[in-house]
Amino acid sequence: MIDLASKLENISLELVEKNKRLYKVVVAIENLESLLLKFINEFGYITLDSMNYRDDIEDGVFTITYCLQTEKRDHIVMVQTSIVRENATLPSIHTIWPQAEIMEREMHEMLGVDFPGHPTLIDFALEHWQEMPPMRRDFDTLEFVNSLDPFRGQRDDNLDVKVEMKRLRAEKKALKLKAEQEENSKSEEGQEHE
Amino acid sequence: MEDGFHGSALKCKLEESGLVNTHAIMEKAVRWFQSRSIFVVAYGTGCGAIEMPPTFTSRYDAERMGVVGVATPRQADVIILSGYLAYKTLRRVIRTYEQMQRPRYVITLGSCPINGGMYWDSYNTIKKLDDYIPVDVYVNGCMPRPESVIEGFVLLQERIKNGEEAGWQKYDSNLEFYKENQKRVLGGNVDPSYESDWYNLGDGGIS
Amino acid sequence: MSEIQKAIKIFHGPQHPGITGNMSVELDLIGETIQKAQTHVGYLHRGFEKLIERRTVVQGFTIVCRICVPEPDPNEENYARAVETLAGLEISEKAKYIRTMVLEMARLANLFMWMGGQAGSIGLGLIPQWSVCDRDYMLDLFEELTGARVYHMYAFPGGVRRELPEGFLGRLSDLLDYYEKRIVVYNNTFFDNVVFKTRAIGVGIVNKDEALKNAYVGQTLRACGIKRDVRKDMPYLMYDKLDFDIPIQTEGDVYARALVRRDEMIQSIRILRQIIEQMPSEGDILQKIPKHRKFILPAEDTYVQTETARGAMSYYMAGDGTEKIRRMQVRGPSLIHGFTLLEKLLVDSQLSDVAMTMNSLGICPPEIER
Repeated sequence: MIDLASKLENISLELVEKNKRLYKVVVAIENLESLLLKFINEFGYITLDSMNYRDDIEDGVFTITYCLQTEKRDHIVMVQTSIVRENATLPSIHTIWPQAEIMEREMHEMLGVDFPGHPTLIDFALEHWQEMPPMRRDFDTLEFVNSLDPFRGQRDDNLDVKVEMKRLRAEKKALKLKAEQEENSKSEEGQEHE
Repeated sequence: MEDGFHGSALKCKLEESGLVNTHAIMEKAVRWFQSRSIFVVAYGTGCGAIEMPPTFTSRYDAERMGVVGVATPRQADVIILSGYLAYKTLRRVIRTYEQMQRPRYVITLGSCPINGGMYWDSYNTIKKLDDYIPVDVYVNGCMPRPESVIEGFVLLQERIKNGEEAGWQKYDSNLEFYKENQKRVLGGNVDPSYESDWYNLGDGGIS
Repeated sequence: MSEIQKAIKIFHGPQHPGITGNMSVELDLIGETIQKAQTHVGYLHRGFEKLIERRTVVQGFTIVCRICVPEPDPNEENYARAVETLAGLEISEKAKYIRTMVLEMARLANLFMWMGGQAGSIGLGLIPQWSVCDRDYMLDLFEELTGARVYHMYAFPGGVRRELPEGFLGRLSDLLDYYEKRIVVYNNTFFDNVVFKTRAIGVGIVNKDEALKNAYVGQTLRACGIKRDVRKDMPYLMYDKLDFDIPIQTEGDVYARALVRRDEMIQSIRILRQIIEQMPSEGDILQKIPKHRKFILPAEDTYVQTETARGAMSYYMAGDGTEKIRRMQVRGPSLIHGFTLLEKLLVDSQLSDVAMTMNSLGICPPEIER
């Protein structure tokens, strides 16, 4: 296990240990690139596993997390930073890791973050999308969905199932009772005739 | 056919059932043959495509009903829409449906095309497929079992044999309604239509 | 006479019998040789991460298994483990054994489906008929255990939802005996087939030096000679107490990945036999958890990983002190294989190798775009 606390003293950051294989490091946006390069070159965390994002609208920031993994794939560190919501930009790291190209493309489409220097910032999963980026917290899906594509209407008669079943059963019972009474009266008449 | 006992009995029977002229007999025979040979386009559009391989292979063999998969929509009779539809797929499905030759049918699986299903509050799926493409058979379930899918095929076969009004006839007679709904939900970006009368309006290759 | 060569652009498109699922690859061709490939996804986008933000823990559990359509169980396992890590729950040993058993059964079912897809893409039409039917016997066992064939909804935060039925382990053991005989038959018909060997050897070779850095996972790494597996490197559930190997090959082409998958089937059967012997007969299957609207997740975040039949799948989950889930992000193994690796492998290859390469990398579009 690598003792990260002692080696990271000269950069201002906050270190949290979640369990014996997972660390989290919170750092400011200015020191992000130098910290990532330090993790690759000195500590051996050479793989970028994923880039995760979260919209903290109450604090007015986006929280971005880079998850790095060691060469033996047995330790993970989450490098977390916060950027302001208006005109959000992040430095693009697709020159260090080629898989960051597709992850940044998705983040640009879903969250609206700009990456200067990225070669292909085109759409990833949505086509001809005119509204605001959908993963922001102030995009109201319920309102959007109800305005565009309505539900199928009710049944034609729109009656309540439980009430109707009770009524049908009571009708059947009444009919049965009437049929029995007629049979009894007929057999009585037959007996009288005899 | 007045000769003999059997001749008159056969004529009475034919007159009773109303099939005296041979054109109707030919139509009935053609419908019987069509119901026994159904070709399905190879297009797995959603979640339900995971129950398509078991239906078409050896355990729940659908080929004994005459149902076989083909590669292109020009050769097919039926398109199976297995589950929900995103807007991007809806554009391609409309284009594929219009490329199929008539008579053509649509079977949908699952509860998503009926009323939205479990993705009813998603910003990228549609709720009621019947507004955009006419549907003939709905098969319920999430996912429907292979036996349910085969029952859906049998129901479609009965409908073809009886000559009931099918979806493609509704599409031809109400084209404006369907095209308007498609434009509204796809934001005006619909591919050029195959339904215009290109043979008479355009060059057509002749003259 | 000089040859006139013209590059044409075709869509190996969404409606095609030769792609796995619903995605498309845009190809620039000269003759039949591919010059450039570009992947297009988005045909299956449901906005899962936005749907989860409006749901509580119990409501989210019902929809999360549909993120990856061919193999839904690792999704439920990841979700359950992330919620347990955030809420601080511990599960009993019997529940751990049952969850491991369900994961290995799902791995076997998915490997049989892969074999059908790989053989069908070359034209060997017999193998899909056999292997999809053999997978169906495993789905019968799933139906007995959980109630549904494909989407199980069984692994819940805190354990599992139902007890094992009577005699279930005996039936599973008979099915494993049958599978061991069938793997010998598949060896003779498919893995030793001269047509498969001629088509597959030397095609789709992955570069070994940059494989670890570019975050390739699963059989793509193991066929290059690099031995990495989440079950051994970061063990979860009962894997550190069970005895199994990680098979590797050295060539890195389509044939090597097929051989790695065949050896993994044999290792899965070995794990399942050990579980059948060691399964404890007593224990709770579900811990006591708070009721529906009172199950509150604290304001922290975590990151969990599971090994599926195609590679390592990870979830990032964050809570915020209310009963709804703040954020859940999914990173499937096909995200990098479908974009970075596929576009690199298809350059200078033939048009008829596209379907074979896609099946061999195990690309599943629903988990790329959720």
